Amino acid sequence: MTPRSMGFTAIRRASASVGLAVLLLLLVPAVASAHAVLETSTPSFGDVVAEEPVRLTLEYDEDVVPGLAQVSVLTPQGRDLAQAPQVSGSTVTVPLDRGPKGSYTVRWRMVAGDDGHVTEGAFSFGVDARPVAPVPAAGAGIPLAPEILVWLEFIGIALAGGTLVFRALITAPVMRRIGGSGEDEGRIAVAIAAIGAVVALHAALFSFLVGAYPVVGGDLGDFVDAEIIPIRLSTHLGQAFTYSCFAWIGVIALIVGAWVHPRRREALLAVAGVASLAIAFGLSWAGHPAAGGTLLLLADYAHLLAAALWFGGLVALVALAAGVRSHPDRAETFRACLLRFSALAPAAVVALAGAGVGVAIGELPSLSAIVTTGYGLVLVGKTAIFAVAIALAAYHRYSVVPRVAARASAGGLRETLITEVVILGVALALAAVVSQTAPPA
Amino acid sequence: MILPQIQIARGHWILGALFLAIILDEYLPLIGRDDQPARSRSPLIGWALMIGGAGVWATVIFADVVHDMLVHFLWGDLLLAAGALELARRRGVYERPWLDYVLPLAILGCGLLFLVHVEIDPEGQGARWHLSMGLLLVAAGLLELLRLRWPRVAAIPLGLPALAAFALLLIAIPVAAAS
Repeated sequence: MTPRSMGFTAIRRASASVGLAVLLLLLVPAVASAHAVLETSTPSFGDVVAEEPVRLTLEYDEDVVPGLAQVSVLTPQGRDLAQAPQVSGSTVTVPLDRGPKGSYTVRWRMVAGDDGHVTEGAFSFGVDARPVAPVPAAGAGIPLAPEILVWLEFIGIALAGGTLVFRALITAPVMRRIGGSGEDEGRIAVAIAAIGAVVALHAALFSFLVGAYPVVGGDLGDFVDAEIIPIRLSTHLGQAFTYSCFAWIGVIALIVGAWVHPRRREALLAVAGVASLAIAFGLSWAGHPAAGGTLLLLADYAHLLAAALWFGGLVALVALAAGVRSHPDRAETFRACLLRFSALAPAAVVALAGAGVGVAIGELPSLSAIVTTGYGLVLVGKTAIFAVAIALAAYHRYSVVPRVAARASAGGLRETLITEVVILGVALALAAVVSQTAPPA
Repeated sequence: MILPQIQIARGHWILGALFLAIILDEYLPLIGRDDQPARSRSPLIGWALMIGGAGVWATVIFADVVHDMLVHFLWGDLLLAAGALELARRRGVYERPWLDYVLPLAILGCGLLFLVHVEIDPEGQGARWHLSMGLLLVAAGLLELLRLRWPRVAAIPLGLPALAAFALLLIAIPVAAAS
């Protein structure tokens, strides 16, 4: 048997087994076997009821301890309408006081009758009104700054999206023009993009959990047993998490595909880069700008895209510059990429500044809010850091690039490029702080 | 979107059947052109690990309880990393001697995560199933590591029986639940 026929035999064997399994799957009924806590409730999460309910009924998948059942039903004004819960086996009935119309937040905490496990959850329903996301519990926080996770998401998007779009628009055309395999540069791009996608995927997961914890409330130790579905389904945070995680998994698959299929590498990396930048929309959608209308949302997204392209492009340039150190024959590739990048980068900088001004105008109620509110002050700090980065970029564009174009000495370029990357990284950190700070009313 | 429980049970069925097909493809002894035992170079296991990793990450996204998210994301990471490395090795773009250990360690790691799952939720509906499956994967991983370190048994797929038993358990879950 030749290796080739061995391969075909293996594929036939696997295909036959899979076909048989799918056939059996269709013939045999499947039954539930997974974990569940709160099975149903009346009203349920996301429901809109015409009149204020006189009671809330919660059905669990096992008996709960009567004396330890806790339920609150909060009006939009934060008043708790719940009376003492009445427990009968796995059913908890909560008589409700009368309340106004609007979105109600239900927060519950139960102790299982058999093993004493604590479970908890939160959801919202509406009384003659569309329910909004459950409101956070007072005083509940998590000892991990959400700003760090958002910053990691920004960095991940920039590394995956920015460096891969740089590769598609700059490195690949340069390689085609001057010749060369570009094999090493391709592997480096794959590595940077993979790191970015993996970082962003995990940051998205933990951002969601950090955002969900204050909504559920209670002890941090009990949060591991919190029911998470209502928050995933009824908040922009949860919806963005759902879609962005799936998209990041797709991006990772494309990057792995590019790694193991060198002949299709450029096309796969280009698709992965564009997809990574598209995922960034989820961050804008889950943030404050989404509440300010479509124009503000698009301006915020454009601001993030421009920053990702600038930062990711610089990282790709630094990686190329590092390659020149060990392989002097790659100097011409780096030179051509630098010249091409310097021709395209000003567009990203202008878009970044323009969209940033648009977001600031949309979020700040008055000019004085720049110096009288915490949001405004962080915005000033971020703008100042970006201004330093723009100054360094201008130095590169108008002082260094002409020398490189003339094939004159441009010593220290790698170091100043790294400095620009670091400054932009700090600016992105402040942007993450801005994204987590409530704009002034 | 909430995945109905029936879909989750069917998911076990599909995963079990696919897993059985894939491990048979990977571990059944092959005889090469020189009549000597040959090592599988099929990329099927690599893609299967990648798809499995993506599937487990989907479980993270659709999990109903936080601890399920935490266990499954580690599991998904393990499968995605092992799948990427196996694919790269089998397609010849990345070859290192230590890559021989990737598959046994991934199997062992998945087994340990099953045991962690049981530890976190010992009274859960699937606790006994998870315990059995975890022990089978740990045994398979250890036996495959032993095969790597002990040349005299290199041609015998020591981990195959335990892996096949794992796949059959996955297939049996919805059947047992229905009875």
